[in-house]
Amino acid sequence: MGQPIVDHVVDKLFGKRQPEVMVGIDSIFDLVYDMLASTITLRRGDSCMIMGPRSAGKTLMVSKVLEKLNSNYSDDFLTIKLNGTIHADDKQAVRAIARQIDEATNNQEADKLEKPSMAVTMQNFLTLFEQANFSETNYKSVVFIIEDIDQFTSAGKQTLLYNLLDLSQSSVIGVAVVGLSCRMNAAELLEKRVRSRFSQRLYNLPKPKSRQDFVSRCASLLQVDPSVQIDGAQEWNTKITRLMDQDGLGDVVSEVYYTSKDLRYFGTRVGPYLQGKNHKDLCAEWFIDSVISKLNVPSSTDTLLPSLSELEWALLLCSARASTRYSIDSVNLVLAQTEYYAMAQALSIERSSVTGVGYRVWSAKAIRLAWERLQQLELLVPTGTAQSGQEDLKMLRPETGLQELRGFLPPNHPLFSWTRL
Amino acid sequence: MTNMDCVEAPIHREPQAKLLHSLLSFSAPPAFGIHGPPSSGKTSTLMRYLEASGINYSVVSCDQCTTTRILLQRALRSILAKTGTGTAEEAVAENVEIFSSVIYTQFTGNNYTTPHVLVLDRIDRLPDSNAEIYSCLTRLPELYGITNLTTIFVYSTPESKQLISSPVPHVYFPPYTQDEAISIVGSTDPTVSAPVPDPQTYWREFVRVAVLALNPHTGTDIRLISKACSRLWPLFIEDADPNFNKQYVSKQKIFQAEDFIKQLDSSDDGLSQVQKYLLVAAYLASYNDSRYDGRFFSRAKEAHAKRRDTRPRNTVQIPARSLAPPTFEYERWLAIFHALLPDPLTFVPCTDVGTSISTLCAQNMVVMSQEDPLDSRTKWRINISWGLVESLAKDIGMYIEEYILE
Repeated sequence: MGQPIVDHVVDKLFGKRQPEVMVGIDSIFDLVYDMLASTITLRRGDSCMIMGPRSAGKTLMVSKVLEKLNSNYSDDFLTIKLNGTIHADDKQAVRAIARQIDEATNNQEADKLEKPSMAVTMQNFLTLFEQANFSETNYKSVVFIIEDIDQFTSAGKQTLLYNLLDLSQSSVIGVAVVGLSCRMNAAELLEKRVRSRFSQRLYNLPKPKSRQDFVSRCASLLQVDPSVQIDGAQEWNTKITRLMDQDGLGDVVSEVYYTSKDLRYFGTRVGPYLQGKNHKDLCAEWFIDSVISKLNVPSSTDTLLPSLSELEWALLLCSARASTRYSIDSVNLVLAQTEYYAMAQALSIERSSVTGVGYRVWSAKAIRLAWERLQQLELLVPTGTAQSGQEDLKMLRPETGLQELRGFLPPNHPLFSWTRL
Repeated sequence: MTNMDCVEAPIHREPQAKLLHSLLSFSAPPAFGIHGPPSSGKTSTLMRYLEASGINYSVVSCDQCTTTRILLQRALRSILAKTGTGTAEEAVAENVEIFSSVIYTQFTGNNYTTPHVLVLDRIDRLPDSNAEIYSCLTRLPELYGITNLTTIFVYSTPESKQLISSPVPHVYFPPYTQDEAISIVGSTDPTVSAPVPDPQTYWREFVRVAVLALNPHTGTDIRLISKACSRLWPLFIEDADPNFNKQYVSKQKIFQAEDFIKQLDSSDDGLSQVQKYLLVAAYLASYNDSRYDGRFFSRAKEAHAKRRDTRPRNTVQIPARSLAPPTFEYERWLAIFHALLPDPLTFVPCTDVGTSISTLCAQNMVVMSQEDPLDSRTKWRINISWGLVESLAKDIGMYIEEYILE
């Protein structure tokens, strides 16, 4: 321990602590704050949707808004948070709402909103929003925050969204619905009757427009927040600004900028370089650590292909060959195996005529084991349609094409010539 | 905090252990991934590190869980028991949302702030979709305010979509090189000691030649290599010669056979003669077009007259037998069956055929499109492979290639 600066910054990079400084989202902050404030004070129902790519700061901005609202009107409103990816369907979402209300109002067992029956829970929840019932809870208004709102549109009839947006329009107490989504067409996914109840307020959080913009966002993530008082923070912040353009850190910034522009990804790339270091030694060499840069990479076909044995390579090549030859998307074991025997026997004859030693052709049993391993590694993926019948005839799609495989094989590999039909 | 020096990393995995150390022993991320090909030391390195570091941790083997719910339940119970923050027996976690909120209430209720690590081993083997596990557990601090739980996903497939959209740090375990694999398996003890002066060197030499010989099949998968070695070793040290090279030359053929691959039980199929004919007939009915039936099975002379093949030739056709079999009608099947039967057996009681067919259906060797076998709309389909049909045809003394149009 004893590294408050590094720990503070690493916490921010890994998303364990919210950064105080928001770059580029201030204008929308005010709009959302004003909307929610008027809901709370005037009991005016309202709704809006905030869209922006992943880790553009949507959740961060909303939680800042809530923080500010809490400090101004702490006991006047109730916040209910939903998340489209976590609450997979309307049922789970309604339960989550009921539980959050129960927790906030300290309902006793008997008058809890959440009941074993779904319909009763929903009914309880809707009647709560009638004036007489809600006044018992000491709250004046309710704010719904729905993350990944687009996930709720896939449910049939969009019942949950319909009810929530309907409440925001008709309820006598103030109900505000804030939807967050990373799909730019989220509002168009709403059904007609749902859309007509939505206020059509759409806010957009754009991705960083220029490299400079992105660099300043990264820098603010790496710097110590202004309200945090730690010795040496000033020095650290200026050093960071300087390092942003130098080798090492600058390379990481460029890599993230040109691939995903994702700040959270940036955090996971940079975090491991900082962990366990002493803030006084901050220098460009920290970010040129070959061990970390080689090992802190996501899993992909690039990392998996080197692990394949020669037989697995042969089968992967043969399935890609068969799919190119017959212009089909997916192949089965029989097709790949036929191709393998044709190719391997030809290679064996060719070799024995030159060197006297053939090429080892493996039996069907060995081929099947290799085929199963390729499936396990998801280099061959199911086509999605349900297939019954023999395992050998099950159609699977090779993840990599022949051309792509050619790029992975060194030219001196014995099977390199198989990459051409 | 932990001292790195007391942790002894498994051989050839020092860089990974070092990265694990820096990820876990300072301000740990809410989640990170460990990935690499199967049996490349992921789990063993992690376990050895966790054991030595004194970090409190729980492990769930996801391949032993059939649903997400069981996985979460096991994780929750293990976490509550290990942290002493709740009674594990009563804990129920239907979905990630309940899982996270229970952890939040138990952790905050008991003022539990020590870091805890949850290892989800082989999460790629979970039959259910693991989307919400990924998207929730990677954002626990943001969504629920839990900052002292670190989830480690161990997997060997390409990155799942959810992990790409909510990124986490990684520790990559690259495949071992051939030399590393030889030294790892060579450093283990053989099951039986060889009757030679220096058994350890003998074993190491054996591992080296075995890896070189079997490399095209095993790659550098440690588990496959050590399995193959332990199968071949007893054969190799029979009549052991103290000189390794001489012994290798005399035993070379054991490396060429495929005895080291797990044998599947291919017991006698127990099919009757009639059933064998029926299966061959069903195979022919499936893969041969009915318009050629006359040519193959009719005894009338004109049926054998050559016909012109009018199929267009310019496209490459996929061999039909490599694809799923087309369906056929019951009557056609019986007709081909009768045509195939040799003369002395020509008369087969009808009940026998019916029983045989229903046995074949029960064994799933022939499948029906619907339940009722007597319905004329029912289509039939063969469900056994070419290899089996070929051996059946050989059993009944029939040269099946003659009947296949290709």
